[in-house]
Amino acid sequence: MKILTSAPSVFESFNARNLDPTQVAQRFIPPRQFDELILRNHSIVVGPRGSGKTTLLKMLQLPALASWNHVEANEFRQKIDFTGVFVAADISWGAQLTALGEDRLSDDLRILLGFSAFTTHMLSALVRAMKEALSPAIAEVPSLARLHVNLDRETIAALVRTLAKEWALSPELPTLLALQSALQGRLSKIAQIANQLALAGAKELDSSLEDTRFLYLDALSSVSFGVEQFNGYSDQPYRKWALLFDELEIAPQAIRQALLKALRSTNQNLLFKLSLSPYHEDAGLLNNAIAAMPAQDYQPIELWYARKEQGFQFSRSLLEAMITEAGCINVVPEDIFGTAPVGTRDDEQGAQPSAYRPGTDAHGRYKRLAFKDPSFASYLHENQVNLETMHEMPAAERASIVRKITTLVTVREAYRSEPQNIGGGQRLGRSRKNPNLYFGVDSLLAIVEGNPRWLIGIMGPLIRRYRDEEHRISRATQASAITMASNRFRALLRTIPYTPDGSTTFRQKQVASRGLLSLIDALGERFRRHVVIDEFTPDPVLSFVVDTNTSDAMLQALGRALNAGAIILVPDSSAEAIASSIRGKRFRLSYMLATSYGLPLLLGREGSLQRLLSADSGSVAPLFGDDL
Amino acid sequence: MTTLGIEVIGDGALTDSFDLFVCTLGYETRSSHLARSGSISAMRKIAIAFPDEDYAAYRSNLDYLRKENYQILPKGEDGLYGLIIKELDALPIERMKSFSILIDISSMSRPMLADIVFLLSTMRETDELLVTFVYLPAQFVKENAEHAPVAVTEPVTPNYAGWTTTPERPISAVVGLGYEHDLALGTIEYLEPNAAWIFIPTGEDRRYDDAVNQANRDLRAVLSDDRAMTYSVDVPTRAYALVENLVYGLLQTSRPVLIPFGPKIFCLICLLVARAYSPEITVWRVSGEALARPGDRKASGKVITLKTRFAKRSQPKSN
Repeated sequence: MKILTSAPSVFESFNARNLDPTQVAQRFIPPRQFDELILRNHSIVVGPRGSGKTTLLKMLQLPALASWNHVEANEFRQKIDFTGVFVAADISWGAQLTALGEDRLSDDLRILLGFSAFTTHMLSALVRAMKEALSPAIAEVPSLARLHVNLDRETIAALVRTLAKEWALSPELPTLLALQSALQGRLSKIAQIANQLALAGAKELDSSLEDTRFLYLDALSSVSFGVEQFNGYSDQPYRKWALLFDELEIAPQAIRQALLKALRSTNQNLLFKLSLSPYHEDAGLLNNAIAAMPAQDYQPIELWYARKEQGFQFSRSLLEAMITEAGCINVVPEDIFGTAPVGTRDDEQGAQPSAYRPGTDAHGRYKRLAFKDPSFASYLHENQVNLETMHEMPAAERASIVRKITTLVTVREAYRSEPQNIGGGQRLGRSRKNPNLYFGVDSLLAIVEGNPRWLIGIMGPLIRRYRDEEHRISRATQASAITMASNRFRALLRTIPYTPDGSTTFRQKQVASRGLLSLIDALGERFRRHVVIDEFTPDPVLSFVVDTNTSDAMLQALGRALNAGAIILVPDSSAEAIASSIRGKRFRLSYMLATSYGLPLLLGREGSLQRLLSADSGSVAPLFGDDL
Repeated sequence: MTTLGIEVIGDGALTDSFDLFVCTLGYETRSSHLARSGSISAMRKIAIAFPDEDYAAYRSNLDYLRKENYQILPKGEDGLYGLIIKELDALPIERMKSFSILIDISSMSRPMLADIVFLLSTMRETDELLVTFVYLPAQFVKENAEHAPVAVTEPVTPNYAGWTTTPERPISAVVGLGYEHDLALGTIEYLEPNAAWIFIPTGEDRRYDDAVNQANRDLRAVLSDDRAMTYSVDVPTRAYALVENLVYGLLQTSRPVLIPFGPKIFCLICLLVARAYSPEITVWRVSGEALARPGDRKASGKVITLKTRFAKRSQPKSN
C-alpha cells in the first residue's frame, strides 16, 4: 500500500516518543539539563508536553548513546556509568490499563491485573536493556565500551533460566529474545484472565491457581532480582541500572501510587529517573516517595524557561544543528530568519542610541503611537521625552524610560488605531489585522519556549525552504508558520476537558465549548486589552498569581494548562519541583499562545487571576465568576 | 474472550424480512422515522429508550411506537442480550443460523452503538447472526455545526480500549472527520500518533461537506494529501474496505487508534473493524456535555444500509 511508505507528515517527524533510540540520537543537542540527568543519582525531569522529557530519557539508553554523533558526545559517554532501562508510556496504553476490567471487575482485581501488566512491561524493558548491554555495537564505541558485557551462550542460557524461574515464565528457548516473547505472551494472558474473571463474575482470584501466580510478582523486587542476576553472571556486582520511567503520570493512579511506594527500594544498584508533568494531584505522595529513596541526592530537573533568554542557548544550538543538517553551509540563523524587531530581547538589543534616531523604524513607531494614543503621549510628556531627541538622552535614562517600552510600543502601535467617532461616542477603530509582529531569530526562539518539538515543527520546513529557494524567509511566511503552530496548539487545548463550576448560562456553556482554550482565551483577551486598549502603562500586567481562594475546579484547569504548556510557571525561591498546589504561584501565558492575542513576548507585571477574569467587562456576565 | 468474526457481506436492503428490528426511542423525530415508514418487515420490533430525553419528538415517538407494539427497552440494561437469546431459543435449530437483525443506528449515541456491536460480537449462544445496520442521515441544520463543551476524551467504552502486547510500539491514528471545529486536529495532537490518516465524508449533503472542510482546514494544511481519503457516506461497504485494509497494514508496525468523528456510519465501521481485529484496536471518542437541549433532527430521506455476518471463526483467533 503506497500510503504506508509515504513521507511522514509534520505530525510524525519530530516526536521522540515515536523514534527509536538511534533516531533520537541523530539530532540530539544536549540542553544544560542533560549534565544533571547523567549523574549517578535519582532524578525527576519535570516539564510540560513537548519539552523534551522523552528525548532526554531515551538518550540514556545504550543504543542512543552509542550512535550519538555530537562534538561533546564522548565527554558525556565517559561520564555515564549506568545502563538505561527505558519504560515507555503513552495515553493509549494508559487508557488500556485503566479500562482493563472496568465496569466488570472489582477495584482490587483491576489493580492486581493492571499492576501485573505494568510489571511485565518493566521486565520486558529490562530484558531489552540487557540485550543492548550485550550488543557488540556498544563495545565498538571506545567511550562506552566499559558498559558492554560479553557473556557466552551458556552463561546467557543460565541467566535466562534463572530469570524465567523467578519471573514464572516458560520461554521456548534459553535466550533473552525468547524471554521477551514470553513476557509479551504474558501481557496477552493478563487480558485473557481479565475476560475470564469478568465472564465468571469472580470477585477475587484464587491465588493458589498455578497459572496466575505471576500476578503477584512485585515489580521492583522482580527488576532488582533481574539486575542482580545479570550483575552476578557478568561478574560486575556494582553495575548500576537506571529505570527511566517516561511520563509516569499516564499510568492509572492506583498503579502509579503503588509504584511510587515501591520506589523506596533499597537496591543500591538501581537508580530511578522519572519524567513528569509539572502538576499532579498526588504530588504529595510523589514527593514523599522521592524523599524516602536511598541516597536522597536527587535533583529535580526543570525543562521550562520562565524567562525567555534562559532557553535561547539550547534552542539556538538546535537551530544551528538543523541548518547544518539541511545542508546549508556557513549559514547562521539570522541569514534565514533575519533579526527580530528592536526591543524583542530585553538584555542587549535596542541599546544602540542610533536605533532611536529620527527616520528609524523605532522612532516612527513611537511617533505614530504618540499621535493616536493620548495616554502614551501623556506618558512621554510626564517623563519629558522629546521623540526627536530620544537618541541623545543619557543612556541610563533612555534605558529606563524609552528602551524598556520598545516592545510594548511596537505591539500597541500595530494593533491600536486612531480613536474614531462612532455612533456619537468615541472608540477605537479597527486595527491592522495581521501586522506580522513575530519574526526574526529572537522572536522565534522566544515563541518556541525551548520546546524542541515546536522548534523543529516550525523552523524545519522554513530552513528547507531557505535551502531550496536561497533567499531569506519573508516576515509574512514566518508569521504564517507561527500562526499555524499556534492554531495546532489551540486545537489541542480545545480537546482538554474543562467546564467551569457553576457555569449555568448558555453563554458560559458556549464559551466552555472550547475546552481549556476558553480559560486561556479569557486571560489572553484580558492581557490584550490591557496592552492595547486600556490607558498606556510602561509595565502592563502579562502574568498572573493564583489567588488563595481559587476553586478546586479552576485549580485543576490551571494544572492541566500547566501540563499542556499553555501557561508557564514563574518560579520563586520556594517552588517545589512538582507542584502539589498551584495556589499563590505565578504564571505567564506561553509565548506561542501570546502570539494569537497579539501580546508582547514579555513577562510583564503580575495581576490577581481572580481580578483578571472577573474584570472581563466585555462579557454580559463574568465568565468565571462562580469558579474563583 | 470468544468473539464472533465479522464479515461485511454487502449493502443489504430494508426489503428483507428480519427476525428482529432494533431502533431507539429518543427526542429526535428521526428515531422513529423508519418505524413510521411502514417498510420494515420484522417478527419482533424493539426500541431502546434513552433516559432523560423526554422532550422534542420523544412523546410522539413513544406514542407511535407503543401503538405499533414495539417493545420498549430501557437503555443500559442487559435487556437486548436477553431478548436476542430468547428469540434464538424460540427458533428451530435450522433457523438459528440465519437469525437476522435490522438495527437503526441513526439516533444512537456512540457508546450505545459500541455496546451493541460488542454484544453481538461476543454472543456465545449462536454460531452466526446476520445483522443489517441502517443509517438515516439527518437534514442539514446550521447549528449542528456547533459542538458541545469537551467533557471526555477516552475510549468509546472500556471494551473498546483494546489491549496490546507491544506497548512500546507507536500509535497510529485513523480519524474520521466531522464538522466540529479543529477537534480532529486537537485529538491527533493529544494522542501524539506516529502517523495519522484522515477519512473525509462526502455525499451526505453538500452543506455538510463544506462544513467539514471548513472545520478541518488547519488539519488539512499540516497533513500531506496522501494521508487523506474521502469516503462516500452512501457506500459504507467501500468505506469499510478502506478502513479495514488500512488498519491491517498499520497493525504490522503500530497500535492503531480509530477516532470516528463525523457520520455515525463511519463510527459503526470503526467499531466493526475494531472487533474484527480485537483486541489490538482502540476506538476513541471525544465528546461533550450538552450545551442545551439539542434540537430535533429529522431524517433527510436517504437510507443507507450495511449488511454484515457475525459468525464463529473457522480458526478461532487467540487473544
